[in-house]
Amino acid sequence: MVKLSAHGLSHIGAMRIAIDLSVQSGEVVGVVGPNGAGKTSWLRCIAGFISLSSGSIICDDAVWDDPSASCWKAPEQRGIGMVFQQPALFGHLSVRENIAFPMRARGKSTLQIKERVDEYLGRFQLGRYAGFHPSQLSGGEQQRVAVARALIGEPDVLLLDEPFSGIDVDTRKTIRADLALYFSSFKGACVLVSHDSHDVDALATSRIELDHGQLRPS
Amino acid sequence: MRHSRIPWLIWVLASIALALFFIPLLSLVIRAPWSDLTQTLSSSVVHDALRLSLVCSLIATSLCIIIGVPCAWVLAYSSLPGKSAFRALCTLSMVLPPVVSGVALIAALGRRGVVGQFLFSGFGIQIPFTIVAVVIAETFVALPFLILTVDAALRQLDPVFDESARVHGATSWYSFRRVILPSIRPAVIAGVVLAWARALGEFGATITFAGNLQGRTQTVPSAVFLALERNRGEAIMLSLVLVAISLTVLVLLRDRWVTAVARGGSW
Repeated sequence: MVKLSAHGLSHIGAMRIAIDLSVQSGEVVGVVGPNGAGKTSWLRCIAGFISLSSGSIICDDAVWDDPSASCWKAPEQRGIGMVFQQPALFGHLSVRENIAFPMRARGKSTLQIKERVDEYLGRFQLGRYAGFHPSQLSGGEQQRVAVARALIGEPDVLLLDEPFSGIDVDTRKTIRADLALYFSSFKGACVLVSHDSHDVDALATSRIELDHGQLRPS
Repeated sequence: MRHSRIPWLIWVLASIALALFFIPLLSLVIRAPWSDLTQTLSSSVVHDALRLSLVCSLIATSLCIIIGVPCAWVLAYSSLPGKSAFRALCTLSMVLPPVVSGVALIAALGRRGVVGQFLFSGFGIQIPFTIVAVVIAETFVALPFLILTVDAALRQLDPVFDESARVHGATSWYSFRRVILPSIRPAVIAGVVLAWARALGEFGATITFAGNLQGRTQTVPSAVFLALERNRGEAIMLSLVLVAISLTVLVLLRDRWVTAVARGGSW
């Protein structure tokens, strides 16, 4: 059972971002708002790319960020999987190597990696692309690889930053359906950011609205 | 046809530029004493100079990689104050007359230099006029080429790749080795080749700081300089050896690597 709670403030330039989030295993919190509302900054705070100015981020009993206690965990120590606005796949690695990356970075054994990657290639219907490089895939296929990479390490928390960005309408529907399927078997907590409330309505169990870095009553 | 739109004056000026490059190189080939080729290339002077040039330039290039890549990493990603001043310093040492670099090295590492006096009095180490001086002089002039090439590529690389690696469990060192460096590989290779070519052709700083002693500190450019005084044919043959090496470097650099660097240093 995972419980993530993030409360506090962060400052990015002149913008003040108010964070107030609580999510636990099996839940998908959708964060919606127009472009520039500060949605991505929420995720970047949780991921550890931006520090809080005040408040805290706590996952179960582990403190990820608490400026008052001078406590901060690096992104690689937080047990997160993340899908970025652009797939952010590593162009010099094959699909198989991209998916294996989180396990390899965490020092898993070759046998473990092979077994798990084979499983995820099958689960995400990417088997025939295993030896391809990202530039040889369509936008939708790249996004599937990005989701597989985010999930393979069995993260406690999954962050999705506009996962449908730059994808055509038909592919968007397919990926949305795929994500709904993956969420059903995902054991951790999930935060989904989107500027499109349809995406959030289709996938999230609860929603938060943001505008200019501030929470808006939904 | 596209070229028909270019004014004739531009053609003339462009031809002068091409001739300026081409005629001296062609003259080297024409004036070379080809009948003495075997004898010149098998002389001990040429052997020693070639061996020293290759060994020293390769060591200097390795040093450039070992200290230059981390330096570019710090320049590109740290929030160190005065980064732009350091970048300017790198650019300055690229355009500095090599003889000035040699004088600066003597001032720093000479027997009575700022650092050299302690090396000599404390450990009995004397750097000038040794093979170490050749390597240091070549590293000094070649390093900025590697640092600035890698720094530019790093700054143009989208930070999302590093973030993506970090959030998926990679330490910053792992991300640098496995994600960032491979992503800018063409720029790193171009920087290494440029640095090596610069080290190989280095003359001014080397002759000032290391001297011109056959078998000890005499590189090919220094040997060419000395040969001009006593045997012009040998100087031309040695120059052609350097031209051949430079040409090989150019062929290695062509197409993909040069294009990749111009694109921003990533695949």
